[in-house]
Amino acid sequence: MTMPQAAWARAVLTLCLLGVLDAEGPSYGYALLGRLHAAGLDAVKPATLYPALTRLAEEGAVDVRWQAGEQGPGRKYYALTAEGRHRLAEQRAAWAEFHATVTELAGAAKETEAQAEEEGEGT
Amino acid sequence: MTTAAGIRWQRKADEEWAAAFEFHLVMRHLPPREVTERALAEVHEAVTAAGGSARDLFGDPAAYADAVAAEATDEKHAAKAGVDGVTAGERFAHTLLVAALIGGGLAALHWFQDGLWLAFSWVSLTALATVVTAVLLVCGAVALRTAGRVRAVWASLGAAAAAVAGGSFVMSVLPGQRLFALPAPLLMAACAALAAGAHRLSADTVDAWFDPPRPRNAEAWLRRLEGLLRGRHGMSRKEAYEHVAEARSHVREDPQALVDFGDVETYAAGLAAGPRRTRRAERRKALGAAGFALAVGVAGFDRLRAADLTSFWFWLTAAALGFAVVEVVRPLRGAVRS
Repeated sequence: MTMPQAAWARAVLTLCLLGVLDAEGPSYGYALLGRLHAAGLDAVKPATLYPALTRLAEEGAVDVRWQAGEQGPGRKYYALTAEGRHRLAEQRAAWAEFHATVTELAGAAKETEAQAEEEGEGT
Repeated sequence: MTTAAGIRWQRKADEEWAAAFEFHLVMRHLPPREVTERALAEVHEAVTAAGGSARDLFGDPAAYADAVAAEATDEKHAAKAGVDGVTAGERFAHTLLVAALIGGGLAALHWFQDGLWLAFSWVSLTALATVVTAVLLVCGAVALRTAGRVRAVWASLGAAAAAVAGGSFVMSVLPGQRLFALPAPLLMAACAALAAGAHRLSADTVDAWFDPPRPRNAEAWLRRLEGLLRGRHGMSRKEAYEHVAEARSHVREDPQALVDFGDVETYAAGLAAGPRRTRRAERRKALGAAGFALAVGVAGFDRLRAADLTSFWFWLTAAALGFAVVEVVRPLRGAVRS
């Protein structure tokens, strides 16, 4: 059995990117990668991040704008569009439903209930 | 210890499993080095995180090597394929096959029009050599474009134009008297042999002919990325430049990050896999058809201008030109609709 976190991170990368851009405003690839790593999604690499951002831009979920740098070609900033916000709302709702289903099937919900009961009896 | 740099296995059993896995993967499947390194790194990460042995987590090393290779083969083909879904080797073999079939068809038409024997002179021999050279160079240019070698494409097309110009000049000064005659079926058989050879060509082998050396530093990697985006994936110069500038900006912030971009062909394929891919494919199809229309128009200019409605060759040229024009218009209409 392989550890699935890397595959999970790839699967929810778009949702995470839309969420970060919505919460924190326009950002660029390197900063977004740092933000994802800081949140614990170490499995995300530039090789998966930039193609995902490109796809979002081509689908109209994000706008692209170049900001001149002190040296070199500058930075490519991504900003959420109205279409991106709409998609984020949809994906958030779908994720909440999916999360609840998986949590129930994995038995974590029962475990939490049992723990709560034990704690109740203890007091 | 395996060859993947930086991996130190805590248990002897895991090290032996990794060595067996790597041996099977490399000896049986010969994948790109990155595939082996990435697979070993994933195994190491899983073993370290889960605490179990590599055999418990991944099973038999040979079977897992087969599974990794099967997955990588698909990835490899996808990364090497252009907007039309074929690799440089497949494109070269296919273009050569089509050219050989057209040559055979033309020889057959000559047979029915002018009789069994085809007369050859220094002029016609030079014309034949010129056409064969130009066709090979154009086939090479098409494959080089899929290989992402934009400069080599122009060099190959320039050489084809030079071959045509040189051949035309030589033909104008050589004597035109008959040297010998060959039966048309012999020329058809030669074309059929060429078509069969093109059909039997191994795409992997031909791919290797067109592959440039592996990029050895960041600048070479970025140049290769630009070539792949423009040549293989049909992106405009501006679009490709923006992707390269973004990667360059990232690497400037963290020079070690180039490793995390991984294989340049896979990365380029990832960038090009979005919804605009269809439009790029349609545009490229239209450009190819426009090139064909131009070639037919130039080659058949005299016949078209003469407009001899009783001539078979006039109607053949007109039909080829009409077909090419339809092939230009159809993808353009598709692109506009999309």
